[in-house]
Amino acid sequence: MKGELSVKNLARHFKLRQRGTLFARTKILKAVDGLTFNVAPGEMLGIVGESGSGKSTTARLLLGHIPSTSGEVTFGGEKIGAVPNLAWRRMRRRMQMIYQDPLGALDPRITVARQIEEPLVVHFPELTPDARKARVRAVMGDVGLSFHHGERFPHELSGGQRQRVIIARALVMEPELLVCDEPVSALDVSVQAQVLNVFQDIRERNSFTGVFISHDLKVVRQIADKVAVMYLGRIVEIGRPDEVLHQPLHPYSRALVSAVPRKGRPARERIILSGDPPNPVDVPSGCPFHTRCPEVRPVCRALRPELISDAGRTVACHLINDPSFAGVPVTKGEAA
Amino acid sequence: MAIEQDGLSTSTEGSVFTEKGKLQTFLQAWPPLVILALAWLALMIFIAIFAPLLTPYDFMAVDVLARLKPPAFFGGAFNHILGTDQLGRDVLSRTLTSIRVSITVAICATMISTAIGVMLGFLAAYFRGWVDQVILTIVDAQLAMPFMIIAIAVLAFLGNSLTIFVMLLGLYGWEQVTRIARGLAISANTQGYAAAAREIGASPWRIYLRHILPNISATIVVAMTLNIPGVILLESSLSFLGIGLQPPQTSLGNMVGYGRDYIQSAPWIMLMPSAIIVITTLSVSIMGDWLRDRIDPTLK
Amino acid sequence: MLQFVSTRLLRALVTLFIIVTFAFFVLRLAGDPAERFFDPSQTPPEVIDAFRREWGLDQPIWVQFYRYIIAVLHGDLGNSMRENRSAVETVFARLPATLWIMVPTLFLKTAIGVAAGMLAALYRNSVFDRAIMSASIFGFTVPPFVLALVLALVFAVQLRWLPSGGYATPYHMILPIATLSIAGAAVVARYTRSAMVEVLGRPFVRTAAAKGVRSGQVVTKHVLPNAAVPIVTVFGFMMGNVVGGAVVVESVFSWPGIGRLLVTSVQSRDLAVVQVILLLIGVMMVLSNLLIDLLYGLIDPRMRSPKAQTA
Repeated sequence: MKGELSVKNLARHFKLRQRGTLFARTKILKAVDGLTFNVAPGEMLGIVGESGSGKSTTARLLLGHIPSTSGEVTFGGEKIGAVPNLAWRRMRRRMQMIYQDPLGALDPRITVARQIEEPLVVHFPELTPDARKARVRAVMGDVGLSFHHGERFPHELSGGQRQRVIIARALVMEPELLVCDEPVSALDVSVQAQVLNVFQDIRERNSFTGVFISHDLKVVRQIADKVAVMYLGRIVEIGRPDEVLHQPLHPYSRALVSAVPRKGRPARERIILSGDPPNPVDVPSGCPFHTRCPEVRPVCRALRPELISDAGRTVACHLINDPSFAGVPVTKGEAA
Repeated sequence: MAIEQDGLSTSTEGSVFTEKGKLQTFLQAWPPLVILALAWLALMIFIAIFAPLLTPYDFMAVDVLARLKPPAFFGGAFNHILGTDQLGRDVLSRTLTSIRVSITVAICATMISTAIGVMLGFLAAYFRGWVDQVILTIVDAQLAMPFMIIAIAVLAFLGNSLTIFVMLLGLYGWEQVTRIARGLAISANTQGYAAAAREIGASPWRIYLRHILPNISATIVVAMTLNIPGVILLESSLSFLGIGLQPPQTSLGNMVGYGRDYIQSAPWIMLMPSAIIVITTLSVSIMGDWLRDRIDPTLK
Repeated sequence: MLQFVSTRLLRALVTLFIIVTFAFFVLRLAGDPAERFFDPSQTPPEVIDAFRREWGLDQPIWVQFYRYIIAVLHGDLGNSMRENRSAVETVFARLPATLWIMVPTLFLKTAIGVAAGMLAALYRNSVFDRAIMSASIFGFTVPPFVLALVLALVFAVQLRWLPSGGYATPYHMILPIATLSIAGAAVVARYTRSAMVEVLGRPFVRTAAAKGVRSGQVVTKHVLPNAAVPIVTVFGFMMGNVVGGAVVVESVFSWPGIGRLLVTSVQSRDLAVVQVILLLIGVMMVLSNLLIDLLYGLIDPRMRSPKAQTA
């Protein structure tokens, strides 16, 4: 019944037209550039990375909101297309999304109970209104909303309550796949914790397959079974959270992890990355990270590292995958 | 900054924010001019509904013995308070019937144009691409031609039954509604709630009619209200020129048109309906502006 | 800039084509002109058939449309069924009369409207502003035929200063021009005021005033050029509407211009003449829109970018 989410060579390129003096030039922004991963049934994959690393584009590709440039996404063996036809709409029954901005994702003119009910109206027209109401009530209880909240309008609820409404609406059809795009980053920390607890309760009850996108490593550590680190549209490291988030191998993962303040670790041990991420329109040749990598070697500029599994770890870095490249580090001046 | 101001306002509430009188608050929400306009429109709608019960005479009843009688107080008798026209028909009865006809035509036409406008606007927003381009081009073409000229040309060759006339007036102003509905639908599409509705698998019909339409309805209603004066003016102008509603059917513009031949000897025939046209369009405009300011100040 | 001009030209051509097509189909699909022109019960069928053949009405509609487009391109738009000469001649014979009242009107209403709107915006919320805006709302809501009749009632019937209709002397022009100018100035004043008010509130104007630039210079150098776009738009519409805007007023004052010709042609169902007038107005509108579009490009460099076009 529950399926495996499988992603092969997924890419999404955006064409940008730049006005020149005489001719328009087309540049290509590779928002997502060749992702391959699997999420086992019932597993929760966390995706972390800076803004602009292609996390949100990945979320939209997974659910077929935007067409991919190449590659494919399958869920339980079924290909997920991006043409919003009847089949696509039917598939929504099995997969749902949770958004970053709960207020924006709710219709301001409809009471929240009716919004939670709407997926049932759309997908199960054979249900009686009473049966629907009962299910809405049950799912509201699951996410910790009391019944009287249902008669309110979105703007009358607090941020945490709204996010629970969104979760309830996504869960009311008991989806098999749930993609969460920064679901708690708009909430303050205490509310974040509550909402995350709701998440975990529900996962224990009906184990859906999930993808959880966040820039917040602590949140991902708490909720994910597997973590992928993205940089400029590619996965640079993927693996179990205790490995990736505690002993990261890729220099970029190491920098990300070291940026999380932790008790007992002096601030000077942080790895400060120089500069901004490169413009995704002009992705550097070779390893995309070489412009900022503190460990950069000559080979990194020429050769793009592949994501390779070795000894239980999966990393895309020459230094890790082929230690013979680990010659003399380039000095800073040359690197820039 | 915000916190400082909050602190200020709580500490000095007594002195800075003197409480307004109830009358003052009321007048701010309901300016006297708006109340007058609303009252007038209520009266017009009342007349439109109950005109057959209110008219003292049949509006077509000819009385050759009582031709061109002036209104009461201007030398006329009280049995024809507003006087009679060139055929001895009672001006009051004709005016009431004309109000009924003109108001009904204006409201029907505006509903048609709103329906067309919303439909095309939604189609453009949903399909985008070439459908959008085609609809926008038609909108541009419509804007490029004075509607009255188109209406005259169409009426010339379609003849003018009441149905055709109302349908034609129903094309007035559709392009404004189309632009507004298209813009609002496109921006609603980028907003979360429409995307969320799509994500739960709702059909486009459901997204547009159950989610987007209720959310933009306030703006559409304002646009509709602002369209009505234009329709009234168009209807009365065409009827005035003798190419709108045809006798024995009567409308306000029609009365003015036939009354102008008697402008010298019996000005009351045209003055009464003229005044009603002016006051009604003025009232609708005032109401429209007031609604716009209250509901949607962004609409211009 | 070249691209800007060419897309505008293309657009104008497309609009023109739509208007021509519209004219053709509305007028043809509306019904059989032969049956409209003759009463079938009283005319022998041979006469109607001959009429159809003469006007090409026996051909399929696509053939008729093709022939029509060719004819339009040759400037051949058929004969007036009522007057025995070409429809184009009939219409152009009336053009001077219309221009005599519409050209002075165009300048009068623009001058009055822009001046009143500017003053209202500069002395915003003063008594003066309120008075101008109230007058402008009246100008908006009073239909031209009512205004025309009231002016005629006062100045021609009661005071007997001016003639109530006709074409004999320059005095006959005064009432039509006055009617159209009052109504038009109201529209222009309203647009001017709102454009000015909007610009006056922008930061660069406040900055200029804060720098100590004299207020006269602020208005001429900063406010006017930026407020010009909406004003020019209205002017463009009115310019294109020079022929079409006079229908009602020409009828009221028995002015023998194109507007009145349109009404009488409609009443007598003179197909060819209505068509020519429709096309003439369409061409005027499209040309003035094109002119205005190009003017925009000069006034406001932002208009040249493709984004501004769609927004």
